[in-house]
Amino acid sequence: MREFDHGVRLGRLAVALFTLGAALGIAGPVAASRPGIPEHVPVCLTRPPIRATADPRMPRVHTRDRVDATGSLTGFDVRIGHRAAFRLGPTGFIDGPFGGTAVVGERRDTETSLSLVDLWRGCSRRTITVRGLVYGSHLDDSGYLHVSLVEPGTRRELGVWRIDPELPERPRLEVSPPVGDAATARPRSGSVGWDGGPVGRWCAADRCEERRPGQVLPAILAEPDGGSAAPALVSPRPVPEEAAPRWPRDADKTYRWHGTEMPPSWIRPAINAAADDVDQTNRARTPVFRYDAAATDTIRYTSSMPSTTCSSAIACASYVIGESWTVRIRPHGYDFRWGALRWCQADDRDGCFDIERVMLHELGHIVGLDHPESGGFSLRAFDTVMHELAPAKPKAGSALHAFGPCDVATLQERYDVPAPTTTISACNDLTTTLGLIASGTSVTRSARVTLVAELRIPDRDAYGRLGGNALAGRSVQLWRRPVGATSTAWSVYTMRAGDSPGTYLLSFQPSLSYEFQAVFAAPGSEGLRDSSSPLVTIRVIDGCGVITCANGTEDPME
Amino acid sequence: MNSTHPQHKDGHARAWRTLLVVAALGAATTLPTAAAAADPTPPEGAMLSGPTGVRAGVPLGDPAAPADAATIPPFDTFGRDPVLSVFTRADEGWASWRIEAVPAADIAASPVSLATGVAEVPLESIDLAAPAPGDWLLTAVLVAGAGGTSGTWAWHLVIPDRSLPAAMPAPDLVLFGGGETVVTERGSGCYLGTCGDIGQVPPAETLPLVRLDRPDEPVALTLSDGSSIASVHVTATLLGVDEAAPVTVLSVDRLATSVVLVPSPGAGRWLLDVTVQFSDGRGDQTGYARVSVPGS
Repeated sequence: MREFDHGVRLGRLAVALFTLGAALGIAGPVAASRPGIPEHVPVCLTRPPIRATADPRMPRVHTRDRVDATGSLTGFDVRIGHRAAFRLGPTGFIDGPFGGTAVVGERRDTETSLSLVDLWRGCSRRTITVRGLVYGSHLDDSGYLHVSLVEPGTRRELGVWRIDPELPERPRLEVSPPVGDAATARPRSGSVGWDGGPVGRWCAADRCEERRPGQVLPAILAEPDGGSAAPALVSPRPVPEEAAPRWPRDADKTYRWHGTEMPPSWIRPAINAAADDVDQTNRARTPVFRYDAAATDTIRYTSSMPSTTCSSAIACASYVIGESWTVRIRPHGYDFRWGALRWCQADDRDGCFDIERVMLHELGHIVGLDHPESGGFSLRAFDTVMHELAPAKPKAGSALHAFGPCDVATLQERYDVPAPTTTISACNDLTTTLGLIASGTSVTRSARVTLVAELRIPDRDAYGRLGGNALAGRSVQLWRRPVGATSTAWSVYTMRAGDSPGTYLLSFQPSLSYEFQAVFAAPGSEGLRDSSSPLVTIRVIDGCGVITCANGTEDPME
Repeated sequence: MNSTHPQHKDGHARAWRTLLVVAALGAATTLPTAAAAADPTPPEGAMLSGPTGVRAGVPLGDPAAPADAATIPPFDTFGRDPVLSVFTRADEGWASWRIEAVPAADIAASPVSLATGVAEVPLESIDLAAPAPGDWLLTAVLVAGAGGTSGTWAWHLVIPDRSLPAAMPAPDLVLFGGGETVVTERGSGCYLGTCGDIGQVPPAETLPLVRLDRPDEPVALTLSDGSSIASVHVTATLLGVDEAAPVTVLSVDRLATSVVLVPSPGAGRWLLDVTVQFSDGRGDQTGYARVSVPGS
């Protein structure tokens, strides 16, 4: 079934409507319910051949979000150099440029309008309306348009179609998805490749073809070397950290709302709350974030993402250590291939994302936290806020407003703890060392002897800035037994805090010779291991025998 | 004493598919600095930061003996006028520094000074003046603050004569199997200081498909720009089975390779979740694809 509409109602160029319905089994008649041309796109009066070659002088395409008073995305303002400016709705998009042409589209209820915009002249050469939702288009060197279609409503893939813009009523199905298994092809626009030039990439159902000069497909250079057991995923573990330099400890990172991509009022309290979450839950000397209208770093509410890394992102964090940082938040209502993005602060139904939780994740990136999955860790919902997929409501952890213990473990290693008494995150697993010295090891009876224990984290590279730290405020015991007694005869005392961090002491007036050992039994709430000191023997020169005068006066002294 | 913090093995440990195969490009793995270059967490030595990542310096035991650039893996900045800095993770920082470059092909030539100085308060990071495009041997004589480790470190720096793009493009994860190549669907990831977080994995039926020819055929994983991989973690989840648990197909760290062979998860239709850490601390990326494996 096909239908044509040459767009005479618009008095513009031909607007061709065709349908893929019959071929794809989409129910319902085909109709051009509306003109389908993005607002205010000027129409070219003539149509010279499409310029296939990019030119550095070619006008650049600038887009800017439009959001309403509630912060919902209402569309995009598009400007092509100084040649044209027009508006797209909230489901509008621009692919390309392909040579001197960009594909400007807008998805509507059941159809997508596509305009081939001549960037040199800033006008639309041709507009086509396609039944189905287009997510991705590519204009090849021969002038054919390839579109990847999604079925309205179900979001089922409908395959990839090739359209001749001069003959749009005859689309050709390039990748036909099998029944129940949609097409996988994704035409992609040209991008700046590794060689500094444009790289065209075209992916069909089971292969990709790239026009990348000199690109050689990888060869399998080695055969399997036999089986060995894959290591088990282990949880919990500190999340990996970025290898980049660190921000200074306790740095004061201020931010403001971006001037033209300003987060709406309903989202700002959640962003500020996330900044507070960093401050209150990091238990490290992590940079802290606070709003300051005079700040240079910004929070942006925008669909303009800076790189391919963020092309499908709901939020994106960028930073240059020592210089600047920014977080971009995709506007409410943005139309992803999987559906519309909903922030819970605007629409608190299942499937929404909590902006405070997502923002805390982005600030985690800024201070150097990576995704745990990149280290092979499979952490539980409340171990971290850095999962590579933010949980949507009502999944576990979807409203987690604090760094998880595995985030804290990494931050403590990266930035150190604020005080020797700070609890080491239970997600870590650090060894401890315990030393013990006595003020004298050979004394007369009833002379005062002070034993000093020192509890530390050993100085190892793997422990980052926690290495070598003293551990204060812990419970360290002193075990004592008469020299020569059996191991079951220990008396146990609790040492009191010494004058310097990490030291613990106790004094005695022994009347007989004793062996002492300091013992640290790590609490289950901390990521520390137990440790014990070497034995220290204090001999009393004129000491009693065990039978003759040992008595209660041997108790520790204050 | 026992640890108070037992390591819990999670459900993924039940992976029945335990074959682990890594094909490493030989040259890279035999170089002495390959492991350090692949380690995403730099040691407390001297690190060189540039537009294409972070590279550990090769410590020189005898500063008077010149390093041989041919034995040091090149660190390619991609373009001219790169922003370069030498930094350390050690708290002591650098109290004084002298950083020079000589042409790699002529190390007897007069050195070009890139940075020299003394700091009253030791610095963690020192900015360098980038040398002109070319192939350079960089040497840094660094004196640490009190208690730190002083020494001399070297890098083989390659500066191509072309412009740097405004943003370095992150490579795609490319799978090769059944005689065909697919690019995985991009998930969350970080690349050179930019992190993107997706909201959902697209519906499985929309993901690129690898059709293997044999039940035991591995899938080759590479990056689209041919750069090196530092770690790979791959899980597979059976499609069409309610609440199927993912199984670990591959989990390897500390690589320095551009090709990894991922073992077949076995007969069936699977969703592959591939997470890669890029070499030189460039970041990480998750990619998604389907794989269809025939029965025996």
